[in-house]
Amino acid sequence: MNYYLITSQSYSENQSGIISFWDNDESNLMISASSDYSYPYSQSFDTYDEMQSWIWNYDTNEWKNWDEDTEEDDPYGIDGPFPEEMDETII
Amino acid sequence: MAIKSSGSLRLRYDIAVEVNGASSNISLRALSAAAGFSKQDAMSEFYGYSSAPPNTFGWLGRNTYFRNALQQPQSTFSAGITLMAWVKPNYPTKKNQRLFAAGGSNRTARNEIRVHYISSLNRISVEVYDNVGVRRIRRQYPLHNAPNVAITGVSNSSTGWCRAQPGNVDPTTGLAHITATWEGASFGGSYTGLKLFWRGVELTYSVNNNTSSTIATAYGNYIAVRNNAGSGASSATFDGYTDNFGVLLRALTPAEVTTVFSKGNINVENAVQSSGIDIAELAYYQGFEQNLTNEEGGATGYTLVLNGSNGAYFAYA
Repeated sequence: MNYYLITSQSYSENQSGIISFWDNDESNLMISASSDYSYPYSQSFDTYDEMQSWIWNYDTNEWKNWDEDTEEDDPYGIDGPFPEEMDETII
Repeated sequence: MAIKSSGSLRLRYDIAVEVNGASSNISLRALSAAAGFSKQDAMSEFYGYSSAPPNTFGWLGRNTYFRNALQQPQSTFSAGITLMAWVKPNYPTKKNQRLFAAGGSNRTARNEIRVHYISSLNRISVEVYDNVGVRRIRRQYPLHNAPNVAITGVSNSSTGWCRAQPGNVDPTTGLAHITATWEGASFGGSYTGLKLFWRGVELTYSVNNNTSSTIATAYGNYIAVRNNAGSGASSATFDGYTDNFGVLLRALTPAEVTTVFSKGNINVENAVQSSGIDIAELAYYQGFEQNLTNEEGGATGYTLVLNGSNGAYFAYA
């Protein structure tokens, strides 16, 4: 099974393939389909891992389009040091 | 805990404790019948006996998660909540991973408590959202910073939590027990009402802690494992192994979490009951024993359904 990055419009017009998931604003989605998928697509992937690797590429930050929990990228980075004022009260 | 496999056995203090907890009118025949043994009765039949249901299978999948389709009462977790499961990531490199959640909607973060792994920061985040889906309370636990790293074993933040670095796991089943607790709205909006445990030990170091003056409540309409309660499938849907998921109607104490963990990767109902916790406080448990009905139960009546098809029950070696 191959994976294809297609637009929401393309999916609504063709209704082909099995939906894997949508991007954050639901303008694009990943579908799985056979290798002879004949409708327009932006990108194709031979395997699930290849598709996920494209999303979770930390050089391109593509993943920020695909997971709504993206505002978690705090300015102190992965190793800090973390200041006390990271603790905040939300009014 | 299973009955010892050799030496002398006592009807009441060794066998009855494991079989049915009876403390009076104890007979070998009654205990044998309760354990499913046919006549002729013999004490030796109980060597190694365990009343715990078997834990032979779990779920291994990607882009698949479990959530109830029918709403349950929103007040379910008014007294707090405990969420727990045995998990191990299976994606070859690090990526965001959603673990489990409970909330008021299957479409938004309204009144939700969610627990998820943030790969770019190598943290597990525990968050509570208010009644319009705004995050109010949060703790983020770096897995690779001291003192957490000694507990998690996820020491390399570049590698992250993934197949290559699953961290400290159960030596028998290869999965890690992760538990999140929240004291609930009555505790107030302090982040200290949230706690996270890895294999029964509390992670004490957290960053990006949010306290709120707005009191948030985790509704019980929906519970989910391997995903948020209020989200559909995404690239962050859990990719890996999941087993023995449980949800309780209050925040267990750290000592209780440790005790439940010490029972091992077994049916959660059995683990809770044998830990001396009132079984009525167990809202839901799921054993993933070849289907969703063999070991599903709990006080609230949740019935989880599979979303997605990219996964299967796996058998432990």
